[in-house]
Amino acid sequence: MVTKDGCIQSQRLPGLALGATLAKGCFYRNLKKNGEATKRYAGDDDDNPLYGLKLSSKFWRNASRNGDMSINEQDCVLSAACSIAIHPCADEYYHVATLNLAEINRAMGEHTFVAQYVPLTEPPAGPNACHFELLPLNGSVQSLFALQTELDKPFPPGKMPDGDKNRATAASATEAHEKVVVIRRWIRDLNGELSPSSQAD
Amino acid sequence: MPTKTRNKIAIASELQEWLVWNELEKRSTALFRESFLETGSLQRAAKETERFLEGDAVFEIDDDGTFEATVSARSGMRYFSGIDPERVSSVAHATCRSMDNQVKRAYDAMPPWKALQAIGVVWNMAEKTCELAAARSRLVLGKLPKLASAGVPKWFEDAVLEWDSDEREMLNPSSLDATRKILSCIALEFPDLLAQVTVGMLGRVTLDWYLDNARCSWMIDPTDMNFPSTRIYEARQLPHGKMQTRIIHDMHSALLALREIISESNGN
Repeated sequence: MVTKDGCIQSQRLPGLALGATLAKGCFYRNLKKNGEATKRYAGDDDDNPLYGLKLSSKFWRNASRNGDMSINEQDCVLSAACSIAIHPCADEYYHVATLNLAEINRAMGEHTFVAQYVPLTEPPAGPNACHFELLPLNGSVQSLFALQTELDKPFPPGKMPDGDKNRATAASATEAHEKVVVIRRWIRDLNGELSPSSQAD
Repeated sequence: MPTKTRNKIAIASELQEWLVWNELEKRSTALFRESFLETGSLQRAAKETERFLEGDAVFEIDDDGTFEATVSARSGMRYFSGIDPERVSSVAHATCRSMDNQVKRAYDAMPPWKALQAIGVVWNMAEKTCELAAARSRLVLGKLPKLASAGVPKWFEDAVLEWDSDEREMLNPSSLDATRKILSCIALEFPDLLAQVTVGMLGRVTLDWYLDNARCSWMIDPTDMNFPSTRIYEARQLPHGKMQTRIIHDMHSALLALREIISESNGN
């Protein structure tokens, strides 16, 4: 049974000062039930999409609404289920994206991103000693837009790839994308329970 | 053309030579016309023009991209001055990198309060330069003929009608207005070009152009300035290439950007 208190007590603190930044590491980003994760191609299979999932326009709209992107360090929070459980509005979240910061920076070239350590100590947002914010190091809106476009692969957008060449291109783009971000659906199931199996990741 | 900078001898670029000789040609044409009108003699006008064009030129280039040329002709010394856009671009690039480095050094090496002050100084300077660029760009746009428009394409309005309540709630209406103006111009030159339309970050309309072998995505930010000023965040990428981003500040440049990416897409 995954509980908020259990998750908070089991956190492995990163041992960083307030405001310290990391340019690598894996981080969880909680996703809402509907629409924040979407199939890369509308025509793909609903349950087991061949070309995987991507973060949707809705995700980027929600992420930009508050001007920051909250993430939890994987090594600190221990499981995707705990990443959701410790959120003050945990009930709203069902899926989790795992972002590989080193891979993001490798893919993004000049648009470097860092994770800044912002532990949350006070309710209602806290306590959460694993909390970071994903921030661009060298730009602002331009960098976030570049990240959104990069993660919106494969290109070109449109209908399901047809023909061997297009299918191979899309498969290779999917593979490259999943080094950067892996989206796991239904960490919280439709009955509202956090999936025990997700604790193993 | 032999040239020298303030401190050293340099070779004039083809562009610099063209700028001076183009100016010389304009002036000699004017001289010929004037002389012919005054004297009524084709021969005398031709002689005078020929004298004007004879002689050497000394070309001085300044570090800021301006240049001066002195041409010694039989009729006396002639002086020209101008600006070399290529050199201006490289000087501006170097200046901006220098400002970037000041910000990065402040971030890396100073305590937070000092860093904020140091970054603030550079930021203010950069903002002033942005305002200058906006003002001058607006004035230059006023010298150009009005862009023709074909009306907002139907595929765009159809896509807008399909937005869900979440997209409508988040939409910045000024971004939608700006997008309609931009697409009206684009539709005239590229009637068959389509894009995936979404409401993206900060409620901005995002256009992901359908291109065969390239990726080009635009996020339309509203601007305080009148059309054809724009504020388009562009992210473009060729297969196996790195993402390139920039902001496009006017509709003429936006059309040029589309022509370029379509040409690159077709070339791949």
